[in-house]
Amino acid sequence: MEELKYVGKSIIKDDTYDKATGKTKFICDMKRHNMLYAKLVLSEKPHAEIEMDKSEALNIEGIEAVYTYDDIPHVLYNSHEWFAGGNQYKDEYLLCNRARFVGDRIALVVGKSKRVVEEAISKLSIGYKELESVVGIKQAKENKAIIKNDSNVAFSKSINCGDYEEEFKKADYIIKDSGKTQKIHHSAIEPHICLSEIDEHGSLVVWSPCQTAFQIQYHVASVLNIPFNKVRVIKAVMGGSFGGKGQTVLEPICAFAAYTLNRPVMLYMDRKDAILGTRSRNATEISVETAISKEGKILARKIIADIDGGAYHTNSTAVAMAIGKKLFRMYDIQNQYFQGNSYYTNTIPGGACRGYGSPQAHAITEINIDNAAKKIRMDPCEFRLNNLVKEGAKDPTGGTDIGNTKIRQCVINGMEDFDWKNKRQNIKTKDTDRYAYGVGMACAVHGNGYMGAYPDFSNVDMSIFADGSVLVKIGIHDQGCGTVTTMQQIAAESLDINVDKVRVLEVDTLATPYDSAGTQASRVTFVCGGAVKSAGENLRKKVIDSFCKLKGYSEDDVIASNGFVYQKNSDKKYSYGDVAVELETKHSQSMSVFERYESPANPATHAASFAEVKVDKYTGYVEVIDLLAVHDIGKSINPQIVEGQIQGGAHMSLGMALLEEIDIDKNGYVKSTNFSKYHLLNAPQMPEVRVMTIEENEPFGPYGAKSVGELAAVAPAPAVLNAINFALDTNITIYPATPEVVMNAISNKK
Amino acid sequence: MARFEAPCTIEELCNSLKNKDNNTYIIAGGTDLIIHFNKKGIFGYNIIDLTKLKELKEINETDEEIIIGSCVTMTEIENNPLINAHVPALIDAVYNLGSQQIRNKATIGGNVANSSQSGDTIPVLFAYDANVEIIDPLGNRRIEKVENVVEGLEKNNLNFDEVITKIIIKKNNAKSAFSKIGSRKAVTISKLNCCVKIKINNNIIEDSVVYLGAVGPKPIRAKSIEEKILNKNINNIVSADIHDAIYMEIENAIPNRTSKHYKKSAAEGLIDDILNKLRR
Repeated sequence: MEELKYVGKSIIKDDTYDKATGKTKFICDMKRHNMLYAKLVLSEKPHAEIEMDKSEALNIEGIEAVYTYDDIPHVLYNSHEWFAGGNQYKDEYLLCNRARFVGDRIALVVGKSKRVVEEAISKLSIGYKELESVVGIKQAKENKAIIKNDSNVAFSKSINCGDYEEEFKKADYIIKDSGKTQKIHHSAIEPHICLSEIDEHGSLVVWSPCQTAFQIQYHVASVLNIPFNKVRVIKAVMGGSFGGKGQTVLEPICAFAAYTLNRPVMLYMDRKDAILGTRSRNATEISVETAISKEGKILARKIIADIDGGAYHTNSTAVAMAIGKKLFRMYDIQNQYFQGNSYYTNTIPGGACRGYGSPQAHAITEINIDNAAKKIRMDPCEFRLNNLVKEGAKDPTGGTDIGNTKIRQCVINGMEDFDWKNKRQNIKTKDTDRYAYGVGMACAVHGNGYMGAYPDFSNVDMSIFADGSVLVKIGIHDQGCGTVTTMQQIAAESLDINVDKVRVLEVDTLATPYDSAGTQASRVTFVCGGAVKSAGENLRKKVIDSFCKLKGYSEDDVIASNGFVYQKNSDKKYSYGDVAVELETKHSQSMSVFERYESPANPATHAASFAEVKVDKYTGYVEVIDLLAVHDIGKSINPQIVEGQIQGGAHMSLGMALLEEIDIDKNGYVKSTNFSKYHLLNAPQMPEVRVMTIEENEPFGPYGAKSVGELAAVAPAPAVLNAINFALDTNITIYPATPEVVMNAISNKK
Repeated sequence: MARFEAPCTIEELCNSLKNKDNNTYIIAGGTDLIIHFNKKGIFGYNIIDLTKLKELKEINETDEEIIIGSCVTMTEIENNPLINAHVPALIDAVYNLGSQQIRNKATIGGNVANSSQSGDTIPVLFAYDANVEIIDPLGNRRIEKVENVVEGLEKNNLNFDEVITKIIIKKNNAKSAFSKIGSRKAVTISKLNCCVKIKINNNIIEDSVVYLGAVGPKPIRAKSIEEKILNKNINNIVSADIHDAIYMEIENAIPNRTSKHYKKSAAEGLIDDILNKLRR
């Protein structure tokens, strides 16, 4: 391959300076003439019919409106459904008269200032007629109280390959484990917010720090019964999402208020609202049985995943499938049965959360793999190397091909760098009466988009102007992870022009062409990046072709490089802009292309994490001393961004391992409504995360690139639990492994 | 209309207190009060801000006492050599209290007045048998034991128009240490905390005071732990020796709470930390 000029370079992200100096304008910094503020009133009861007396609130000076179920269009939608053909079960109203969880939207208060809005909310007289509620998977399964339709089962499906029952009979050992994972709040530093107004063209505009602008357009248009072509959604600067801003929770009701009042409305949330009233990572209970031979080969596996879908259907179908499908794409298991069951409960609805099912899928199965290795006294890395998928493997269930995976290399390189064998053998010599030390590792798999399951394509409009500057219009949403810069680098590389000449827009449904699935599913670098590369290559070709046509050269004699095109033997160089001007003048054409790009593949992306822990046997504190994350990413478009993604992902995964949990009591009330009760791993507790990448080119990815941001949040958690279990000789399978859980495991061992 | 008063002299403070009504709140650092307002949805309140009173921001000593103004911040305490020399456990307590931003604002008087069951300076002040000076609207000053002012669960025994002006700690030649257990290592609220104050002669513990915090509305004196360490050589005690005493104290303090099982074992780690600190 020719040497790359822009791809593979750690170019500083385009928004760095403005963010570091505080110049960046987030939605909460935006002001509009005559703008109103709005806040949702969230149910304080897990399941109740609502009656509301809003007269006192309406009497407060400056209050413009208090909306309840009676005021809104009674059109149901599914906040997770990202396109009109999604065929998802619709069960949400903008505001409800029967609250289904603590945090459900029951009213919207609109006024001239935040102060009056907050005061009016305190003056609302809300009558709750309480109904029996269902909390947790166990209660949902019992079906004693049924909260929706005729069963609490929201979705159930099995995925199967081979004949696991037959193989179980032949097995030398069957290793069984079961465990559970928690509901997680995404903890983006910016709470959810949006702004809606009517613009000069008569469009109903929604500004939102979102992941799927076309999804919002679809929901606003269909719920408010406004033509799609009059709804304009603009992705605003975002203070983090991690999947939490993927569903349409605030935007339709905010748009409704702006449309009804004909004034700009900013709907804001505080941390409590964001924890209670948006979405969470689905809690799961997973049981796994693995049949192995005494030589260390996995013969068959059976996995049952029960999923807490929460109070609305949202992603109940999608997350069950996501958990299941991944389990067929890491180990070479020809006989495997997976069953995923999602349940309705009166708790926070489920949504995407960095990894979409992968953190849950691996949480228990990777502990089970360690236990399988332990059963035959084999090193867990060696055991994995016996069973991991190889390059070019097929998905045994007929899914998309695994691609050029280097997971085995991840494990081998990681073992060496971590000094695995030595540490695994000798770490216990560090033990004291109080502290136990351990090392553990885990592997993980994730995808690269929706190809094989849902429509996955993007459209790009790319132009070169007279001054040689380039505008790339594509419906991307930068979540703070450098997507814009990544696309700039790909555009610059494919056009062969300086990256500073390239401007990449984020999605504005009026300005950027349609994109099928938004910034989710780890699809953006792989699919949208592929689209930009393809568009750039075609536009560069157009520059060369036009130049040849205008000047009478043959293509073989022409070079296009660094934004200039010229005949090999000539000193006269023409900028791409010069060619654009001449093309327009002489041939009535613009120097632009419109590219429709359909994803060609959906390979697996793999990683391995290695962790060393120090466990305090008196207090149950776990300190992660060392963490090594090894990722097969095909090719880093921007190594510094990749490193940041892997370190940030590790932070979330360690939080899942040790601390984070939306704490819901047995009656459905949420106890962790702020960051003093919802514990994130903070700086003093965070280890240095060492990052290794393996870059061996994925043929279908742009410049060989595969996904990284979501996968980064998967393997560290089970690696840490394996390390704790190795340190203590326990079998903790509960997330998070809080000090209490650790102390319980120690005392149960005695 | 909301009223905001920031008295600069004691006389002005007394005048403000004379007009104090049920909707007037006294603010020092505000790190608990503002959260309280937000949580309870309190609007249109009046404020008396104590932080402009110079007298309340000083740390002084006499021959017998260390006197800490009630508006001295945790950060100021942490960096004060006088307190480091005489009340080392207080340094431990403020060092790990909240985040740096909280420590820069939060005050010792506020920590006492707020009387949280998880308050970190409170077991230390109890262990030192500290007093507070309290002023009323007429300018009368009275001295009261911290132990009598703190009721716990965010209630104190001050009259509604009284203000704590000083924390008074008697000097002595004791060694002391404080440690806490939260959900994580730093920026965490105590699930359990402890202050041990001892006198040592030739490595032998001659006098011992032990307070456990966050096991009830306010810190409790753990006499059985005190007895276990009395007359022992500081270098030879291991936490296992006092295991039974620790378990008994927790059992007695919170017999009906499920958290007692965890707190028992965690308390052992806590005492181990403290013994290590006392050997420094």
